[in-house]
Amino acid sequence: MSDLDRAIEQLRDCQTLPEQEVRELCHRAQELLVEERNVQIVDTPVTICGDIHGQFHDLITLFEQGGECPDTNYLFLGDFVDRGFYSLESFLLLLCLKVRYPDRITLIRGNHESRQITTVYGFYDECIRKYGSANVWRYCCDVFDYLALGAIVGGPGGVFCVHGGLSPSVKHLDQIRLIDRKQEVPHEGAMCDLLWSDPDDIDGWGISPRGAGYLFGGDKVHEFNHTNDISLIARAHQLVMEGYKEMFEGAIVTVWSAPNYCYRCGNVAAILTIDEDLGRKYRIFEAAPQDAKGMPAKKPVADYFL
Amino acid sequence: MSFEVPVTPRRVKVYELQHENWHDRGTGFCIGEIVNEEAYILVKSEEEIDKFLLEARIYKEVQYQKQQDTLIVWTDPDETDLALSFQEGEGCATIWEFITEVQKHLGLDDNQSDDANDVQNGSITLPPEPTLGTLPDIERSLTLASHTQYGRDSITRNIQDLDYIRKLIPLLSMAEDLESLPDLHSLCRIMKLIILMNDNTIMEQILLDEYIVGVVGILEYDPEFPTHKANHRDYISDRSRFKEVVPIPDNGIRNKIKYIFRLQYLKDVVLARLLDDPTFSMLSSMIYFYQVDVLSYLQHNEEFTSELFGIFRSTPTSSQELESLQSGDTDYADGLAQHALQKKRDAVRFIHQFCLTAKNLQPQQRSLLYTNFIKKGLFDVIDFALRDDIPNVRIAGTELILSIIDHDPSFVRSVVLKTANENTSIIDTLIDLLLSGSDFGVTSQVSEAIQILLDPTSGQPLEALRKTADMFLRQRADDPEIEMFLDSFYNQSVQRLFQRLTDLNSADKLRHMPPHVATLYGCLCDLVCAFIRLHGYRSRSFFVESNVLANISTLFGSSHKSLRLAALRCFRQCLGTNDEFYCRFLVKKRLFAPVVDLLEEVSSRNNLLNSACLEFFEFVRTGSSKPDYQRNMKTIVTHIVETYRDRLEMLTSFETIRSLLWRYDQLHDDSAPPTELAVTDSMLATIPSRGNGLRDLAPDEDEYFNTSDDEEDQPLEEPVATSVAKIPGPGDDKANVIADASRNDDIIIDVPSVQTDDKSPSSSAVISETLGSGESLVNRLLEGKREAADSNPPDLDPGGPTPLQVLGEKRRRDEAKQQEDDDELVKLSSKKTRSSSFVPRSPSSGTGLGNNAATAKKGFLSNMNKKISISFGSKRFKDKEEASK
Repeated sequence: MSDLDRAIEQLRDCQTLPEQEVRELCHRAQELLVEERNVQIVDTPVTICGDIHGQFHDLITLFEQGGECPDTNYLFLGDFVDRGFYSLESFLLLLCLKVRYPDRITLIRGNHESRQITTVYGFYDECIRKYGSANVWRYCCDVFDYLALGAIVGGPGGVFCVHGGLSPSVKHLDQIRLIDRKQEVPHEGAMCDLLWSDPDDIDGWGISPRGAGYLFGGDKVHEFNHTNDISLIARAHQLVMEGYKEMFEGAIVTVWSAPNYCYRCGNVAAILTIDEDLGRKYRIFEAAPQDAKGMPAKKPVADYFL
Repeated sequence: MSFEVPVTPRRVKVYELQHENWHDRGTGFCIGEIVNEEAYILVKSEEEIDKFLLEARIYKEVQYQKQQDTLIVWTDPDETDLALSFQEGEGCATIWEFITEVQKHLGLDDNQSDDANDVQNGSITLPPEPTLGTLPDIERSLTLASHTQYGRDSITRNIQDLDYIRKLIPLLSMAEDLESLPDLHSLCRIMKLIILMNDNTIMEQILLDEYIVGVVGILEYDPEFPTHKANHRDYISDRSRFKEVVPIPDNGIRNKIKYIFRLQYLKDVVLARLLDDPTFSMLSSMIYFYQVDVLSYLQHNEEFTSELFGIFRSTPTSSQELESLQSGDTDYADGLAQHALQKKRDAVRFIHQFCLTAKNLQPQQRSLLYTNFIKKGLFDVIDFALRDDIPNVRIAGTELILSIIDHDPSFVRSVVLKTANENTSIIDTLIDLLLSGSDFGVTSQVSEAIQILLDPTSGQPLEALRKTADMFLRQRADDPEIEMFLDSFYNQSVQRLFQRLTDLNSADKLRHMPPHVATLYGCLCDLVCAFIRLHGYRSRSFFVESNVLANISTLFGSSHKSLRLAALRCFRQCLGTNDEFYCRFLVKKRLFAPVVDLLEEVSSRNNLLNSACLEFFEFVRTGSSKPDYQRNMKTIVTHIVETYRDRLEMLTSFETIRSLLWRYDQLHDDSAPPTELAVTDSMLATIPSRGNGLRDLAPDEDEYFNTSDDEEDQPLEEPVATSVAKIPGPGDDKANVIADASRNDDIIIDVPSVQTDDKSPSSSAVISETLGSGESLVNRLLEGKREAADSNPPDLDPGGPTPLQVLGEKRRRDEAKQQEDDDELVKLSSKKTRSSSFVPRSPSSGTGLGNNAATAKKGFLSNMNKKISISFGSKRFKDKEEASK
């Protein structure tokens, strides 16, 4: 059994890896991701998943529902970390799978895959708590910088996948290619918008209440889809109580894959499978049954002086 | 009835739940009224006189709920769900008091003693002596009481009067002996209910030695995880976890340290899942206040700190030690040395933890603490730690130094300057540490520290925040200290820092470069980028004369792709400065060759390297038609095309390269048609501006910003619309908040004072509070701005520029706390915990993305307090962006 398979087994049991192994894993992942396009090309059938947010046990449920990787081809829309108690295990598991089966899983970057956001929303603290230093957090953040910004599923007439949404600076998909993505998520510009924007019932563009990215209306979605010959934009980024929500006559869908978000929102989660004929099949699932394994808690600090 | 009736009209918005959507009935003024012994809540419309938006009688059976200070929600006996959303918390409190008083009164009048009645008149009591048999009654009473604030108040008094928790604890071992799982689960539910009463006194009691073990023991039997039993008791009673490097003389303080540990354990482990927002913040603030007590006690305890820092000056002092050393008892001496070393390491860990904890303190307190510690010899501690063999001691040392630098770089700089004549300065220690580069984590940490220390925009003490944004922009490197510091760095240390790059003259070293060396070179490149951006002429002459830049071009040949990217970024940074000198240098040294090589090499692959190369050329191309960059970029276009035309023509499958060639032809052909710029101009009009207010704020700094601006990713020049989009606060009459009845997740706010650009069609800001991931960058930015805007007029501070970036790091934490308050998600879920009917939980009408109007309004009002101004943010953003390139 290779090291990688062992690491996957270990992570599936929700065990973290030693710091040294994390470093090597992150290094290998970078080597792999640097070869990816800003907008990855993904074949059908593929199962698209939204935000995970460190809800490790729900990620395991997701794989049970959607089929294990590599049997099922997966595309994750970002936001693997923060909020939940197992950001590290969740992200490392996905990363291990990526390195092990590079063609069967695609990871794209979410707005939480950023140094600034993770220091506020939990991933940084989790790494400190689990390793006693910020090293592992640094390694992971370095990987974040290499993640693709989007994906095209199914070629012409297919699905554009992105974490947030559209950007006024991106009319053509080709323009995304001109981004040097290896950087912290900037606070404006195309790269920022792709990760931060939200669709909204407006015309044109609106100021986003999030302070980054834009709100974009149905007209912009139709325009974009027409210009780029795609039939659907699949994005995540917003909690949907029903797990998924189509808008603008099915031109865009929000997929959310963290059930009972933050262990208390009471929502269900969804994944979206795009088949060979670009048909959409949604699968809804609920939070992992609450057994002892699923009992969410942070690990306490071991020793203390203060 | 004998209580005060609120007659002052309170501005309020009335909502009614219709088909799972909250429908806005209108805005009006709310008062209380008593007619014929019947109490009413009345809301008069503010638009039509004599029209009542609401006339609701107050019934004792109805459960009213107060949420988030400005909301009252209830279901009328006719099954209508109603909500009042007050403009101010005060109005809400007055009406709420009225309702509770009326309900109490009604309850007393009535002779029935049903449950609801018990709640109202406070007659819910607990069985004085709890037994396993009465557990269901206790649970029922607590559940009932938890529904109203009044019930909660009275039951918590009851719990304290009866010393109830002490009485519950023995039931745990009874139930365990009987192996009665239902009883154990019931006990656990009871304890959760008691904790969620959110009462300080009860919480303090729970932390005491005689309670804590029993309480966490009870909480081990969580009915939601029936097959699982936690082992909280073992964990909490394991005393070995508490380590003392130097004995803490005060018992009270020792206890507080224990309480902090217990609170953290409760918060993070035992109660992690069930904490609602109020209880969470109660625990957090208790932890905070205990920490403040402990830290300030220890810090000011002369004896303690002397002994603590004395560890690092340990020469054997006791006569016994001296004797044994003299008598040549080497084993004993070795043992002693070993022991002393261990003690030093523990002390490092202690001080490290101390400083980490201190990050929660107010800036002033932290300054005091660091000053005090540095006087005692903190730098000796760091020095020891950085040279230790054990990696995690070194890491602790690095984190220590980072935490000081992070807190106040200017302070560290002045220490360095003052001690300049002593053996080694901190900067040299850091450089040694970086270059030793055996440890990945330390390498990047140290590189970050060096960068912050040498960033002239960092290190204004936090007061700088209170200066206006104006000042941020105007003050640049006027601070004599930073000037001296940079002088000394460029005179003495820069050579050593970049030695590896100056020596890098052949490709030999690149082959078989081990990963950790590659990481080091990567960090050095990042530093080069940062210094190019930050240090103007100083770094320029060094990088050029020392051949660092020219040598970086060899890194393009590295097998590590990350290193090739890093090298490319350095060149790209040179272009970004729009500094004629750099541009001419790159041309003269033909440093575009490796970039063309790289693009050729990766031309068949669509990967990150390819994108980064294209971005590079795209910047040159678009820059050549931007007024600010035109001059330099035209030169570069000409150079590149004339030198590499043949090769570029093989690359015309890339539109960027095609356009670059076309651009060249255009530049050198006067008859060529004008550029395609017109298109983008018309696109502008439809894009709302985030307010690129930099120029408005500091027009005289145009030059500076133009030189550091990177707008190439944004082909559109954003219309400069608003510099400071002042949105009136809740108290402002102009804050004409009108909910759009057709939508339930948006509020359209009329913002009178927002100036909009002529080109922009929108005259009102559409603000939508979407649940999303909860966070809002705006809040954090605004927060920064608010502090800046609320403050003193400019021209008071002679100091240097602002710590925008460092601030980032620091504020990220400070603001995280702020964020908790503004977090829509927390609001939503705390409502849920309180079993509210206000949130339509499974909306059928597609409201999943948004939440309800009242929440949105609340969220927005709280934002409005923060006076939106995005310009400050965009400056920060720019810096960040620059930094990361």
